[in-house]
Amino acid sequence: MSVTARSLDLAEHPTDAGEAAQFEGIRWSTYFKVILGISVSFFVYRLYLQKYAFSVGLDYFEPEFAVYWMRLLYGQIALASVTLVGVVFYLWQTRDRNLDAITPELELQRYFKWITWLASYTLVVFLTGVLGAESDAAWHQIVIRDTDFTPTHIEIFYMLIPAIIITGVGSFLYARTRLPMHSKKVFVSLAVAIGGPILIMPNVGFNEWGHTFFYAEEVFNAPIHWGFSGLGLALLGLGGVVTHIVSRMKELIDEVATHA
Amino acid sequence: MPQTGGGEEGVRTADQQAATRRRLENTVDMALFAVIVFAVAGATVFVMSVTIGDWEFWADWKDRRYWPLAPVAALLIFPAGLAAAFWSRFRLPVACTAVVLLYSLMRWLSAYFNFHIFGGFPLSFVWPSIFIPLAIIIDCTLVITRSVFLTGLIGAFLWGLLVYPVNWPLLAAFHEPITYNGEMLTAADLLGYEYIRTGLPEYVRVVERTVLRTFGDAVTPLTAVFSGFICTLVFYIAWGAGLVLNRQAWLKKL
Amino acid sequence: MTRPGCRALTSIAGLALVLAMLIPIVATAHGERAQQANTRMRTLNWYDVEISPAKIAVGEDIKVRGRFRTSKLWPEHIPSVEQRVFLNVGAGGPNFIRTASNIDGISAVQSTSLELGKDYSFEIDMKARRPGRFHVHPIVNVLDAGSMVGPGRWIEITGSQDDFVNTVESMFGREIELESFHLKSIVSWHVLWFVIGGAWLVYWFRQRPLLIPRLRAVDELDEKGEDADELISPTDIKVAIVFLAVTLLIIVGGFAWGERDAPITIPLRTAKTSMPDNKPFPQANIDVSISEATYRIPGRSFRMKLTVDNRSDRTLRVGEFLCANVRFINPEVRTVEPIDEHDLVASHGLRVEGGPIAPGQVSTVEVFAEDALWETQRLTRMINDPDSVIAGLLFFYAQDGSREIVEVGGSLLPIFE
Repeated sequence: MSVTARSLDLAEHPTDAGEAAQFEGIRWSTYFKVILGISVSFFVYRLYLQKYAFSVGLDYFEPEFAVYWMRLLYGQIALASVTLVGVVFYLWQTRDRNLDAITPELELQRYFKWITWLASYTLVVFLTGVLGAESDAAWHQIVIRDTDFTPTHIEIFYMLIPAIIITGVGSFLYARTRLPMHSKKVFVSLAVAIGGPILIMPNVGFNEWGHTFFYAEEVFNAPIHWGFSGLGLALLGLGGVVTHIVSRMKELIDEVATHA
Repeated sequence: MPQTGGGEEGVRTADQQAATRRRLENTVDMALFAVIVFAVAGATVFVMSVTIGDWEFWADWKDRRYWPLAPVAALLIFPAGLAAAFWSRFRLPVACTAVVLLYSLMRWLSAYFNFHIFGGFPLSFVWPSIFIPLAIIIDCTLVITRSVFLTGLIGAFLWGLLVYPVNWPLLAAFHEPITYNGEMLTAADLLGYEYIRTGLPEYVRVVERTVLRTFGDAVTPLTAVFSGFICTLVFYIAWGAGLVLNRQAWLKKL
Repeated sequence: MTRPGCRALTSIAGLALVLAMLIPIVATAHGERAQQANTRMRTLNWYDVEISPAKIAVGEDIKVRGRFRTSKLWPEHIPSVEQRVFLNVGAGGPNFIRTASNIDGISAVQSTSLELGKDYSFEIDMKARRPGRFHVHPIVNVLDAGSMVGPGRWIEITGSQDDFVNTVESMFGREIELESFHLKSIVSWHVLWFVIGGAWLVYWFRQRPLLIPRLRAVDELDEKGEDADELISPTDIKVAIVFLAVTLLIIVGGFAWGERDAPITIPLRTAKTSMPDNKPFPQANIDVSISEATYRIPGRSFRMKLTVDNRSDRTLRVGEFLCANVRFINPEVRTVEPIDEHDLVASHGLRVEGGPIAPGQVSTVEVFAEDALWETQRLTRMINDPDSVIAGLLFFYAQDGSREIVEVGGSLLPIFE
């Protein structure tokens, strides 16, 4: 997929020199690498969970737990923190400082990149929702509640939710720093769709506090979990985001297709 | 549609323009496909599991009073909310079926990987309910009536009303009585008793308990009608929320 | 996604994989130690628990039995067994099936309620389902309080899960294999609806490209002030009517099929089992009160000063102090060895100063419970609890092997020096 780009003053868009030199639509290779990379990483993590959750993950106070799970937890927290700072720093440092001069081709290309970012974000949401949360549901039916750091909690709250934060913040910042419509204003549906799931992380504090002090059962649909529900419902905002993307890309495609 | 002709140098022909447009528009469809699938599947399953999860997880939670009411009402939020976006901006009456189909597929995935492989429970204990026909009913009602009000009144009402009959061919056999150690149980109860759930004792099940006033044993029809009413309300509220979030609203600052 | 992001996730996966490959697997016990120490002591005291045999094949039976005493010192702010309880098992998942259970001989299929300060016997019959080595505990779930965990035993199950069958018969002669019951029908119905739902989506997604042209068309009609519903063609409506009709027909047909498949059904069972009222308190021919209880942290030494009134006709000696499932044994009276590596028995953990108590004698006895289990079972964390109350069962033995069991409890004073 290739359309000849209009001439660009590349110096004004230094970070996008490569992508703007020739308009290629979406980079499917990047798109699929991102999806495949995240999926394979999660699959490997899942194998680890399958093997070590029940064998050495039942008792926080056993020395094996410290080796198999707490080291992993510390590693995850460190890696997530460094990655988040790195992503924010990179996206901000390489921001487009001259968004007024952006061409439709470049903006369209960036929309495709943004969709790739959003695919990474929603894929992590998918893994959290379908495989993460309900593995924790199954876990709690089987074991006696240990500390706040159980294998499935280490999986969800300290691996998947940080990944939601990293990809969500990345998606938001990508739009903020590279898309003209988003550079000076905040799109409400986007803020809701990304902000809600990110707030799941602080809600963990309420969840653990509640399970410790006032809710002793392991019913998964108990009101103590409805904070998670409310924040998950924020993903309804993605309907608005899709409409925005389609609507803006329609205008850009009209322009790109018309101009030679 | 673009005009044909136009031989001026540097200006693309209408056919070229149309071809480019078609290619790019197809790319947008394909690129957004994964985003929509991931988001809808993840969000729906997550919200359902932390809101009404246990009724969906376990055969011995599928009772006559709460199971036909709570899960079906909670599940309607995403289909109705996204239907608002897809109908109002695209006139695509697919959101309910698409969301529920994805949800059902993901529930099978979770039942298999989380509850069967990871948790060790037999699939006969953790099978997901059927909701797809209820979604088809809403989408079809939307097409036939082209009215949000009537879709809520008829389609969403049927969504709540019919969940029990839709699932009856799956559930009926689990409610056949068994004599077990001198007691009468259903197969669903027996699964719950035999397959040990350390964290989910019998008493925490939120299921029907005996009351004085179930006139004429009308538990299921009563619940069905109430469920239909609740689902009509949920449909309107979720549709409204979907419209609000679908507004192209911008803030100067967060 | 950026490359650093990709690399980060790949690194997590790599780290997990490396750990998975390098470290050999070791099975550990359950997580009951996370519970607050003083509440573990003051809820249920389990004793005489037997879980056997220790090695069985898939499909073979195992019995968990014993006794528990509900504490008189149950913390008032924790909901007690008087509300609702369920006799349960902790076995790392459905690695066994429970085939029968009772409390005091009364079936425990449903939940029930108990009384405080009383003594109960229990039995749980199970059948091995999945091969492996599992730590099995009896448990009493207490509504709004949590799981009260009994002592555990390692059970090894040999064989293959494929050999496991679990067949029962309904009242109408239907043979029910619970492992796979009704799955063919369940899957078939799901597949049918997936196909019909998929057909509806395919009908609407047949137009390519889809989103932008439809948005453009809706916008254009809106701008012209026309009704965007015009985009829905008469064919679309006819197709919807057909889908709706087929859907409703299949629902009706499915319901009829279900009714024919199981014409007589009953609702889920939820009755609460009644236990006999006014069960007598356990009798003992001995009165014991704690006048002083201290825990010397550096030496892991717990000391109780007791006043004992022996009203029996036999000379009694303190043989065991049972506290939060840890058994401190007086080796001068009893020989008890741990059954496995997680059997919480301190075979030489109890030292008694004050000697045997003769019949009719009131004497002061000092009991020292000293073992590393105080630490490993996190009982010493009691000094961090808001109410540092110790409680447990004292076992007094006579020469002929008969015993008197009393619950003792009181405030604990830590010594930090």
